[in-house]
This record gives sequence, structure tokens and C-alpha cells, in this order.
Amino acid sequence: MAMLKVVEIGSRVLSLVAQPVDEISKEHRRLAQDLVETMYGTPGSVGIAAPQVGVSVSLFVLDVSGHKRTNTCHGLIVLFNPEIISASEPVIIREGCMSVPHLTGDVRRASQVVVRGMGIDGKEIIIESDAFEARGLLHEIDHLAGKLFIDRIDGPHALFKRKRYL
Amino acid sequence: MSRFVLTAVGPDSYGIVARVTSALAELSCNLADSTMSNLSGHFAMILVVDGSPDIDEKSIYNAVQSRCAELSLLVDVKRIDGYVDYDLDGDRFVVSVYGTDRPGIVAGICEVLAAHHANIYDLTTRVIDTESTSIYTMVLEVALKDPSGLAKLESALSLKSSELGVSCSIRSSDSDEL
Repeated sequence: MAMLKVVEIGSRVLSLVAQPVDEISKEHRRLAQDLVETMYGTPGSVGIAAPQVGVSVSLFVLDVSGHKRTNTCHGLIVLFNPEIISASEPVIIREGCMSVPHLTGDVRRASQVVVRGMGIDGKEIIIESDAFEARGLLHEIDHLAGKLFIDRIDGPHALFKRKRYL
Repeated sequence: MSRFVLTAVGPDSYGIVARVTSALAELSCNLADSTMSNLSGHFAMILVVDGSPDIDEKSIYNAVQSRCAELSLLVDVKRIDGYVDYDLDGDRFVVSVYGTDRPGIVAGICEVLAAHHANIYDLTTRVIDTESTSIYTMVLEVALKDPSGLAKLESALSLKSSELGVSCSIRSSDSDEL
């Protein structure tokens, strides 16, 4: 396992639609493990998508355990080829991103979602979630579509500078 | 009633808004509209101010400057037309633009918006320094009187953003009526 370097806004890979995975290879499993290590090894991080480490593959990891905004919690989620099956009406919450270290923004996202994807064992997983986990799922799925939170910002007055990511 | 536009810009410090607005309040001026922000360490204010007919630019300028003498503010006051009839019509959209900083991003994108009669209501830009480069981000709110032109605008923005080497997205900014 290894901590991977996180690429930042301006890198082309963050604007690409990530490649879907047909069959999970040894390399995919290693990438998933490295993403988990990078997420747990970065203070404050609750999720990371493969494009954020420069790999345009449809995979993310997420773990919102213990976060103050978490309601439903599935613990560690490792998901390939995720897709949104349903999403509720959006709510506005301020969010940040490891790949956009100097900005935060008010972003509209659904507070309840149902997401389908493929687990590390190659089997289909359906995740129904809400609150912070739902937001995390949608944020990571956006990365796989080549979108940053800036592409979902609520308006010109919803983008804020900060010193640095956490 | 006389209407003025007042701009004041100076190095950020505590009390700029308090002092400028106190000076205006003492003249019984009313703040009709304003935008104020910290721009790279400089606090910048643009105010539309209504005052009684006997107030002129000089009296407002002097009142503000005497209150703010040690703040090194650049202050300007100009009388403007009373009430401009402005158009709030059209479907609203939010445009997000970001990419490696270079001259011409704002100009390039806004020329496309103008050519498609997208009226800009609001625009914010931020420059952020990442480890390797400076990134320019811009978020705009625009109104399209004829939303059937959206597809053409989207493809023109896409073309221009490729040319500029930036990412650009546009989406509806629906409001929920309650």
C-alpha cells in the first residue's frame, strides 16, 4: 500500500470522464487499497476518487464514519462504475475538496440518494444513503464525470477563499 | 432626492465599513445598494447612495475622508441618474470557469456571453496558487432572455474554453418558490 499524491485543480485528468472498469484486476485492487490509504492518511479527508490521484478510472473510496453531519453510514465504501439511481431534492451546504485546496463553495446536492456500482469483489452493490454520506457519494461520482464542486456552485457569491485544505 | 455612486478602496483593516457608513448616516444618506469585498487584501466598496437634494458630491467626499483620514482610502463620489430602468427578465444560469491562469480568460468567455445576449448579473473571480501553477476561477450568474439559445451558447462556450485551455460549465439556477 502507498499514500498517493493528490493532483490539484488545473490537472486535465480532473476534467475527464473516468474510464469504466469491466473486470477488476490486481492493479485495480491495488489502486483501491492505495486510495483507502491516501484517504485515511490525509487528515480530514472522507473520500477520494481515482482521478484525484491522476488515474482516470471509475473508482472512488469513501468513509464518513464519525463525522458530525453523518446519519446513515456504510463505513468504508469502495465502488467501481457508480451510477445514481435516484436523488432527492437538493439542499445547499458548503463543501471543500482535496483537489481544490484554497477554495470552498456552497453547493446544491441531494440529501438522499440511491447509488449502484460494483464492489471490490466484482459484485453489484446498491447503497441507499442520506445526509453527509449522500453528499460524499455525489461529490465523488462528480469526480468520475470530470466535474469539481465549482461546476455545481450555487452562484458567484458562493465561492470562498481559505488558507489551505484543512 | 439625489443619487450618487461612491467607491472606496483601501488596505483592509477593522472599521472601514463602520466609518464610511457612519459618515453617510450623519448626512442622512440612505444606502440604496452596495457591494463590498476584500480583493487581494484591499477592501473595496461600491455604494449607491441617496441623499437630500442639497447634498453634493463634495460634501459626501469630505464627510467620508474626514472620518477615514488614516485609512488610506481611495474615495470617489459621482452623481448618477436617479432611477435606471433595468431589466431582470430572462432565465438565470450559473457559469463556472476554471483553469491555468492566463490573460484573456474573462474577456474570452464574456465575449461569447455577449455575442449570445447573455446578460451578466454577477461575476466573481478568484486566483488560487496550487503547488505547480496559478489557477483562475470565475463564477457568473447570467440571464438569457431567449433560453432556446442555450444549446448554441453551450457549444460556443465549449469551443472558447478549449481554446483558452479552461473548464467551463453552465447550468440552470432554478429557485424554489415558497
